[in-house]
Amino acid sequence: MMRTRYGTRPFILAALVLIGVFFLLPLLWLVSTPFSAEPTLAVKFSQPSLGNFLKIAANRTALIAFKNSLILSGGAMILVVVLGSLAAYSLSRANFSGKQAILSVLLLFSSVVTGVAAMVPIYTLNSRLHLIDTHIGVILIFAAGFLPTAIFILKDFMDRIPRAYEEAALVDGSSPVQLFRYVAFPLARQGLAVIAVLTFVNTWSNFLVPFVLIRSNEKIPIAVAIYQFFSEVGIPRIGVISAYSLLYTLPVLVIYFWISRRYGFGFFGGIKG
Amino acid sequence: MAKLVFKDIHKQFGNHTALEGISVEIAEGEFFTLLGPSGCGKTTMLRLIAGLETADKGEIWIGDRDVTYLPPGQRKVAMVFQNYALYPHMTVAENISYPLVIKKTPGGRIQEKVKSVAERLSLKGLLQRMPSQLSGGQQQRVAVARAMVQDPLVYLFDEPLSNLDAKLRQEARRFLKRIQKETGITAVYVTHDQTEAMAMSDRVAVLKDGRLIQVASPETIYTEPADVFVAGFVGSLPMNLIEGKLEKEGRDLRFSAGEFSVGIDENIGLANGAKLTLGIRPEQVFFEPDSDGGRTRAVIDDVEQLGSEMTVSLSIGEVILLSRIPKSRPPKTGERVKLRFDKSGFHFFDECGNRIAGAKI
Ligand SMILES: Nc1ncnc2c1ncn2[C@@H]1O[C@H](COP(=O)(O)OP(=O)(O)OP(=O)(O)O)[C@@H](O)[C@H]1O
Ligand SMILES: [Mg+2]
Repeated sequence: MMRTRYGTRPFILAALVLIGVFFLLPLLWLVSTPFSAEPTLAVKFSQPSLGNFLKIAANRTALIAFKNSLILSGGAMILVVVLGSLAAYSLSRANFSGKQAILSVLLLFSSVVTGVAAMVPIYTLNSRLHLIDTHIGVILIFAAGFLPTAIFILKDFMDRIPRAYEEAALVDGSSPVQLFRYVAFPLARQGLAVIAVLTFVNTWSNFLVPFVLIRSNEKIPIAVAIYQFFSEVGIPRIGVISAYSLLYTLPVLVIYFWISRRYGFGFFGGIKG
Repeated sequence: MAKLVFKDIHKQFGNHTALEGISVEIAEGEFFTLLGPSGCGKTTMLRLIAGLETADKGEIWIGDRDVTYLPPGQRKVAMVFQNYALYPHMTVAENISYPLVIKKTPGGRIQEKVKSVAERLSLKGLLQRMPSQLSGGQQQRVAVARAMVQDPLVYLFDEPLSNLDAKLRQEARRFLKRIQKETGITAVYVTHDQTEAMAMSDRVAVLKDGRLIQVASPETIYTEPADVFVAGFVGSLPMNLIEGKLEKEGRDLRFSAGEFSVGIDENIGLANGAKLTLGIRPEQVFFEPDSDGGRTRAVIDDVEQLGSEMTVSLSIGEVILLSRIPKSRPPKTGERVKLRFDKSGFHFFDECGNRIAGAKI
């Protein structure tokens, strides 16, 4: 027994290292290439330079795209959290006929709205509503795309929070606003944090929807702006793209850590006794 | 400080009837206890008063207001929940002060109240803890404290002491009772512990399957139980209940059930041949060595020593009787003895189990 254990160990280790390297390499490339003066597709540390970042700083569209991405993802995040929590709360607490049907439809729709197949009707719809080339149009599509999933997850989360807390707060004399502010919201906020981050990350990386719906260069988000760093003949300018990609990941990390610090993820709840 | 009135309240959950025709009037400042086995509808009654459930039929009045359809927050009641329902994201201090904070009580006043109630419920060292860091008994005391800082018209307690050890329970009982008497706030107290009900209440309501069986003072409940259910439920040991019938024997009436037989004075107004149930509290069953071969003989089945008392189980043929007597030389198992009763404590119940009024020796 001992023999086999020691015998297999080097192989397992080698395999693990291999897998580790496989996943680490792209990350290493992403942090090394932007600082390189002669960027290639290989991981190399040579002649550190900030030239790639300077090129981005000089590109107005690239900078505005940051602001646009924040507006789109932030807007979608707020809309999803506010509407999603209200909808999920009612679905969790109220009993009415047809509730089960609504939930099944939600689950069905969760992957439909922002899918590739829906792009044509979405374009038509936005065009009729005169929402082409507007941020609000994209935000609405983003929110509509993620809301079914969000409501479904949040409803499940809220189902797990015992009603007893709300009942106690009601008997203690809370007004509806106080009930929400002091009891329901704090109890649900970890679920809301999960949804907020998921929405942000999902929409931040969405390329198709803004690519189709937004015309003017001043309104495109980063995901679309990266596209500009291909030269006219379609050859990627690797240095600039990698630098831009690195910047592109930063807000996601910031949001993730900020929300997890402030609200904490994970589902708690339960009642003792 | 208000009286509380139930007028013919019905409550149905699906096709299960939780409460049926409850009518009762609880006086201002009264300590009123709902006593009954698990599932009889005690919590449902409290939830109806608090406004967390709505009655299907009937009215509930608090003071001179009809509160039947009033939302919970406007009824001015404070409730201790059976499962405590402490806010998990607030500290103990925040939990206790929550009802005051949302009513915009001045900060100094809150501090003072929280401090005093925490002291009296031995919670002082725990004020900064989270509920999840407390034992069941500690959580329960926090729940009690959250109700006691308020100034409601009615207190509602749903088994608030069930998780405390004997000593703490005694203390908490006295504390609750004293606060309630000092403030004069009407209290509805739910328990399935009959000792607690007897010790604390001005009046007790015995509930069974959603119906009120008897509403009376603890004394009356004990001495004149309305039916066999109450008789069996109240008392530290259940009352001995023997089903049998009355038989005429010469000049005397005798009650007999199998081999068990006991003489009854004729003047209790019951007819010969009547089927009935005889109830005798264990404290009124005595026995002595069988010297002269008396009529009602029994065999000692089992002896349980309880400090200053002992509980002896006796069998007379099929009939089993419990006797609670002061501790003395313990009888031997299997010993034959002669029974003796304090007949003034005999209770008679008819075929349906209802007390036969006036059938008293
Ligand atoms: N929301 C509900 N839906 C369906 N049935 C219910 C509901 N609440 C209570 N019941 C039923 O009503 C009956 C009375 O319940 P209740 O909680 O009032 O009992 P209880 O006397 O408080 O019991 P315990 O001593 O165990 O707390 C029970 O049979 C219970 O199953
Ligand atoms: Mg209960």
